[in-house]
Amino acid sequence: MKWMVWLCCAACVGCSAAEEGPQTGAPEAAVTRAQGQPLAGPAVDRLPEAGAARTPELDVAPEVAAQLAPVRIPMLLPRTAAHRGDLFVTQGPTWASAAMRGDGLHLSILARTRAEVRPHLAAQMPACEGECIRTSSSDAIFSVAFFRYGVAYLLNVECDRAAADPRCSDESFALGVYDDLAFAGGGQ
Amino acid sequence: MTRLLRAVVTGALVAALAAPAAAQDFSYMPPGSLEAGAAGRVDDMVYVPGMRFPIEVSPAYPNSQVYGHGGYLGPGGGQCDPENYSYPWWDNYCEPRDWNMPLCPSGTGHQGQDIRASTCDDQTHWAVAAEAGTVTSIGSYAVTLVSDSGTAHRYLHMKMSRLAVQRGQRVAKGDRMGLVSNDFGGTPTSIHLHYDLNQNVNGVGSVYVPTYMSLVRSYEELIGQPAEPCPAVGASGGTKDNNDRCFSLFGNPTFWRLVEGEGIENDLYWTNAWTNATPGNWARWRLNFEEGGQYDVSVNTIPEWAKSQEAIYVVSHDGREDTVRVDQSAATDGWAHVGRFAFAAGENNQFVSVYDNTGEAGDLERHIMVDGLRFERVGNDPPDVGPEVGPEPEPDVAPERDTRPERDTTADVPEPEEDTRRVLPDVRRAPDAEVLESVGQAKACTCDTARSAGWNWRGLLRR
Repeated sequence: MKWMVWLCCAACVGCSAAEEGPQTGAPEAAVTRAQGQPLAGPAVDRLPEAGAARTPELDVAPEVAAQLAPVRIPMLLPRTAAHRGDLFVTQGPTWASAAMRGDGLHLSILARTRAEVRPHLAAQMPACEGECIRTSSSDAIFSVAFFRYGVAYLLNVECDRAAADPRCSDESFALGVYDDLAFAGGGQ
Repeated sequence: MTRLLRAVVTGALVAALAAPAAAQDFSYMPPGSLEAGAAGRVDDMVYVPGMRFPIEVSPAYPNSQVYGHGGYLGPGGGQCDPENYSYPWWDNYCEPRDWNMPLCPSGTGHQGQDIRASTCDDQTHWAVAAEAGTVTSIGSYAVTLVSDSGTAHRYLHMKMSRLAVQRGQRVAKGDRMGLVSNDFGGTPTSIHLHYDLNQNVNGVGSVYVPTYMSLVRSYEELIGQPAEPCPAVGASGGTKDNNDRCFSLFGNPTFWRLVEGEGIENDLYWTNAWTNATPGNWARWRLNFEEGGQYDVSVNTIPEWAKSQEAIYVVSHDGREDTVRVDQSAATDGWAHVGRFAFAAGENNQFVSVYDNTGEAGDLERHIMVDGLRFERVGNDPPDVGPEVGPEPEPDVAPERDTRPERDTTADVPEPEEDTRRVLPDVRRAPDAEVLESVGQAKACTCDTARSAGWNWRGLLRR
């Protein structure tokens, strides 16, 4: 029955939002813009040049450094060593990912350089500054999206004990992990 | 109220609720229509075209775990209630939650879509890879698959001790990922798959994008009902009416008016213009062309109902979007010219939409008439020529670019201003019923239309 309690909490908190919701939904943006044209906002255009020397801000173990070395995108990891246990790095043509587990947590950081052009979404998003940090959550997994080095990063924080771990009860812990991130390698 | 709506709609569409639904019964509520009754996100974009439906076999039932049977805010019963395992589908992206979701009308909501497999049996039904890609992370109840293009597909609540994949594993589209279950970090949830999509969007960053229509399209493919193409505009042009299969009305039905016995094919719609920053009502024709080329686009007008002097039309054509203001009242021959546009052959996300947020005050009663479109082929130019949104050949066009009222940048939450369109005259005996009757089975939805901003009635009719 505990799951019902959890659903209860999640739904109850949302009740007021349901009642106060807008009377109309907005359609897609109707701006005049050729699809594929760059949009305003943090541009994904500042990848470190190939071969450029970058000094990691983290002193990671040799095996970690070895995983990060071939990654084409600058990778961020938590300074807190307990949070970057069992590191597993993967990469695709335009993205790289680091998954970690330890201390009752599962952290993942997805770094992407390819962006989808969705003018209607860009027009609807609230303005942002700097690294354009946006938090979100679903089912007790907290996400922090941000830009750094011209790369779009997505940090996800998941707890082993989703309902019982206060670190997954609100976004504050995930934002703390974001603050703890540092350049660890890759992007060469 | 929403439960009543669901019961009525389901009753109309699915004869035997307790029986397993057959593929041919498939129907879905429109995107943005939530069981919760709140305003979801009206977004009919397919964000991952060509993806595979993430559950291996049909039927499957996306709907709410909270507002359905067995949910805390549901109508009672258990999660295995047959109604939870019946069509129509319900969108639950943006279902009320207290967590941030900037793309939701309220700014908060559910990030993805909850999907029930064909039965509520635990560890029986396989979730499969929606795209080819790499399994990048496996948490305590979440598995993430990243496609080569960078779309992150996330699967929650599978049986983690029986996963079919490992971290770093390369999977093909359709490969088994795990069994639908109720894992939730030590505290079980209901038996379902939470599925969501995260994309890096230019100018936005990483964001959980709407999943619903991608699921609809992939499910239609799974059950052998690929979406029929829209009726094509002929090589020399043609007309499209509001009865076209690919015509859709959006927004609160309270503010749409149906006039029978007038217009092309003997009916038309109108609504009043207003000053809100965001549209309240809009309509769209999705387009398909036999041949690419340049076409003059005009809209049908009748003075009694075509009164807006600044009707907003958005034309999506051959990879471009152009916004044009049209003075419907100035047309002298029954057709107001929208502009000349280069269209590509086929569908290619081409459409014409008309919006009501023209800036004209509601008390001016500036009706926007929505009835028919006319396409007239211009020469035989290939479609790689840019649009010529200009004054020719009709003088009643006021073409412009980026002229729509400035959007509220705080997502799609309209200002809470007074809805001045309520001064609409009572031209209908039973307005909602008439409007909805014209689109057939959706008539049953009238019970809840006032709360269902963002209806796309046609969505119900997709089979």
